[in-house]
Amino acid sequence: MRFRIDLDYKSMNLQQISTNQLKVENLTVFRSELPLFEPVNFNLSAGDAVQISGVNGSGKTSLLRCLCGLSHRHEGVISWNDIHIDNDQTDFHDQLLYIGHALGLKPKLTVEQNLNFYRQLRFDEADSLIKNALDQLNIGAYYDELVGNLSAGQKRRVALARIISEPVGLWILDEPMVALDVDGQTWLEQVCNDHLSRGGMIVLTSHQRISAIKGLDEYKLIPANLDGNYMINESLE
Amino acid sequence: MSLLLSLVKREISVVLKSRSEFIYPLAFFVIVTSLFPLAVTPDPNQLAFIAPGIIWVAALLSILLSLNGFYQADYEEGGLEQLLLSGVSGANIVVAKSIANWLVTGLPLVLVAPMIGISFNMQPHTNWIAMLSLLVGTPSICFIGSIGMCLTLGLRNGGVLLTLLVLPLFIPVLIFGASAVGAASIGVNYSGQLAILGALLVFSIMVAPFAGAAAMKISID
Repeated sequence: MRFRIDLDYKSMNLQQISTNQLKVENLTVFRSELPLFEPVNFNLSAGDAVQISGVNGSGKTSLLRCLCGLSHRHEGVISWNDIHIDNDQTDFHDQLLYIGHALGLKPKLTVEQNLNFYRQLRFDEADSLIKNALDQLNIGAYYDELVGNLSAGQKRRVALARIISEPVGLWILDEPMVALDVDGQTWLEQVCNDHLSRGGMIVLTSHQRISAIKGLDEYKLIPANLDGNYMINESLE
Repeated sequence: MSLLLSLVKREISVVLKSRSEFIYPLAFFVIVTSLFPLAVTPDPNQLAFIAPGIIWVAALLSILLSLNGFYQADYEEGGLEQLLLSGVSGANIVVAKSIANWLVTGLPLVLVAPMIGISFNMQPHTNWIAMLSLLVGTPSICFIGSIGMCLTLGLRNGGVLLTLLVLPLFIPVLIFGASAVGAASIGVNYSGQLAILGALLVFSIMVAPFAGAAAMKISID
């Protein structure tokens, strides 16, 4: 099944995104003073995508939160265009879209109000891209519906619509496939491919094998070797 | 500025959608204040004497009740982290939330207070001063409360901790607010108390956004 994808990428500085680079060196995330996984190293440049995989509780979400600069419980260096992300958050956050387990949607506001609010924080004008994005996701009819009335899968679709309505270079997606039906997953894979071919970057986690995204590298988190002295049995958020 | 405006507008539209959020604090204020004549004394002179303190304590507690609605859901739904990642500074978030909180909770209290004053047999002049002191004092309560709220985000039973954390910080506002009204009721000069309330407001507006932003960062980490 093919989806119609036509985007207005005028607002995105293509020259700039094609030179962007995300570098992760010796990154370890700590929980209760203990490292969660063996140090992670990877490099993303234009058109690269990486899938972080690992068993439940291996620290995938924590890793993504550190990558975004939301969490600082880590050691190692994360740099965006060779600048440490803590030193210059403005440029990094301008280019970053993170969609986590908590979708950041207000149940009391309509789909349109939610999406428009986020879009206007980054881009000055409200835009028809939102309608376009929702149509692509087959939820165009819910434009004026309260988010609280939608199903889990529909909410996920609304949150994912932001990758269309806010065109930026780097997508960090935590379990984007969760609650999506087959059509939704196909759509997402296709949009990811489009994004990569335009020079975008993607970091995502998923328990599924995603073969439809071309050039998706898999990075497996290896649980930290604690010499068997410790047991990590804390539940993750 | 337009960013702040759109943040405030969003906060208000969210809160107004769930009516309980802004009606409960107001109802709490009215109910608590109207219980005192029943429990303490129906004597008009004594009522007028205790009125300033009761109005101020009830206003303070009802704003404390309202704080949670502005932060907790936003934290749990991931809204706060999305705002931070969209380039909105933590200080801006705190200012927007405090302004919205005051407009939705504080302002109605200021407007309802004179009616409570009348039922407590307060003189018209004293009633005006009560209104004025609440007008200057309640915004600082919203701002100071936001610091505690940001610190207790995501904690179970955060409400109890919030109370313990911020009630001591509210005390100066409470003392000078109630004493301005008390002074007005016995015909003494009250401008000093009002001036200090104003100074506390300026101080809390200057400090709370930054303290709140730092606390928010820790809570989200």
